[in-house]
Amino acid sequence: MIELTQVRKVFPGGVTALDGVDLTIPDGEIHGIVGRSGAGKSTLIRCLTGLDSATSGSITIDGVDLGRVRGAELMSARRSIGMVFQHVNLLDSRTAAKNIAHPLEIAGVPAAARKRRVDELLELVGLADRAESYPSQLSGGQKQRVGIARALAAEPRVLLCDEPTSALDAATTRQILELIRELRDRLGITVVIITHEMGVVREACDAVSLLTEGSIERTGRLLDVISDTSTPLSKELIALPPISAMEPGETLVEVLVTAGSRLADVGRLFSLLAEHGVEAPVEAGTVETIQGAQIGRLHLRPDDAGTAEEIRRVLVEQGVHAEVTTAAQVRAFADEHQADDAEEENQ
Amino acid sequence: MIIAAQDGLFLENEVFANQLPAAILETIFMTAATGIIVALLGLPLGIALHNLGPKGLAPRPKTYRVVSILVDIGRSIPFIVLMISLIPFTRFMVGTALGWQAAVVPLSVGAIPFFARLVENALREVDAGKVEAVKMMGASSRHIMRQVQVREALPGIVGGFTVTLVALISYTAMAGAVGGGGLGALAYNYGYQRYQGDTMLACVVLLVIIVAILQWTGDRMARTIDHR
Repeated sequence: MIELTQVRKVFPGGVTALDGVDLTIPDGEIHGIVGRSGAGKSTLIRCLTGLDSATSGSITIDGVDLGRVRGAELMSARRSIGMVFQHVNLLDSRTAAKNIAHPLEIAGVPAAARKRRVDELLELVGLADRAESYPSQLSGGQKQRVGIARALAAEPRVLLCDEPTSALDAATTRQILELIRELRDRLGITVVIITHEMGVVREACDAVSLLTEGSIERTGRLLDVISDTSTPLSKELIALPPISAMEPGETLVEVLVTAGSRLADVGRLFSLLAEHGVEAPVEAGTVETIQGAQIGRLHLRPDDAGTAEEIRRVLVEQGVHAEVTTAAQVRAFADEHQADDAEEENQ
Repeated sequence: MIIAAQDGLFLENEVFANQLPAAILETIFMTAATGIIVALLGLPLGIALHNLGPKGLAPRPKTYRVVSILVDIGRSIPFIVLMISLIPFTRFMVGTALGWQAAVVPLSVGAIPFFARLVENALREVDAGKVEAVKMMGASSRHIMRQVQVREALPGIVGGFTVTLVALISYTAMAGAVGGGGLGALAYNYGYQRYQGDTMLACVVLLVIIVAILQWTGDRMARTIDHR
């Protein structure tokens, strides 16, 4: 189990990167940490690995307080964490097999045992035939597989992944995430994935935390977080294209169908509206099945405000989240976002 | 050499039979002995420079600045001046200031800082992420220096050593002119002072051949160990 209590990190010079992070990740969970750039994700991961120490608060992994151990103990604590990097960071001078064996060499594992373990790991990540290849002879996805095998070599309890798929294409990303889930199921390890890609969270994570300005704004099981419309994280996880320009007086109904609603599936929503005689064209929509539950986000564009209100009423009755948005609100939201983006560019 | 032979000068000049073989060997010994000393002392100095520096494993800004200035002083003194000013030190180390053995002392002093800088540059090219990844495995600094920094930068270090050896060849010629022996001495004493054009030509051609062999070998070695 990983437990962070009131973790603060203030850099010399006064920048507060982490401002009281509280987070508990139970054993065997795949936990996604998302946040905009500058939110403190990198600092958090450096503190988790013990490469950097927190200014105050405690970080405990399997009962070991990382802030309190030094020297040999810190080195052995680091060995209980396997780390997967965005740029993999394999040594170019070593073959895939030698890269995977590296943590074992450092831990002083004898050569014969090392060889057995490396063969096992290559098999585990599906690269048994590439043992003697150098990193330059491997594709991006294969390199990351070697990176994951290397991270698992010393049998860590925790696998820490820092943007593991950000340098990979979509198909390879899916394969790597599948591999991570499979490894968790087989080995029972706890996985932390730090990412800015919501797709990674949707596809791989059991739970998710949103890091904003150095603290956890929202944390919870993936489905709970998606169903909770009170924070922007839900909208980012199941995203729709930005709302197109609306004429004054036009209205839009934003709909979120979650596991909590009384609809059997998203398709039922349309027949329900038809039964009430309040149909509206769909402007945009996403439907996904996450962990067995159907999640749908729709933008409906009814002809007039009266129909919009009626649609909202019918849906809310069925436990579906629905909100009527007017043109004026959309414009205000867009202005606010532009200000946000401008601010971010200035930083 | 073919041109010289056609003139009928090449085989007649007794310098070729009596002095050339010894001069070639002297140049080779001078370069080889200096090369070994430079590798043994310059490599650790380069590693120390990199790791004391801002991106190293143990940054010590003040120590780095001092070592760095010393290295730059060593590199900026013209070799001929360095050689003359080191004569007392050379006598102390070797017992004499003449002969190829004596020349090895100033040659080493001049080449060590040169090579150390090249090593430092090669180490700087090693991605910090690789060092961090191995640090995460719980590795010691010693392990990181040997297995990550030096191993990953080895193609660059071999390239730097080749450049150093080639530079050394030209320094040996200069050392030869002031009592160090070798092809440089032959070229100066016979080729220049006795107007023997054929001796001069032979020395130059031989030096070019030695440099070409060195460069070719160095490039090949760097390519064999480079898996990037």
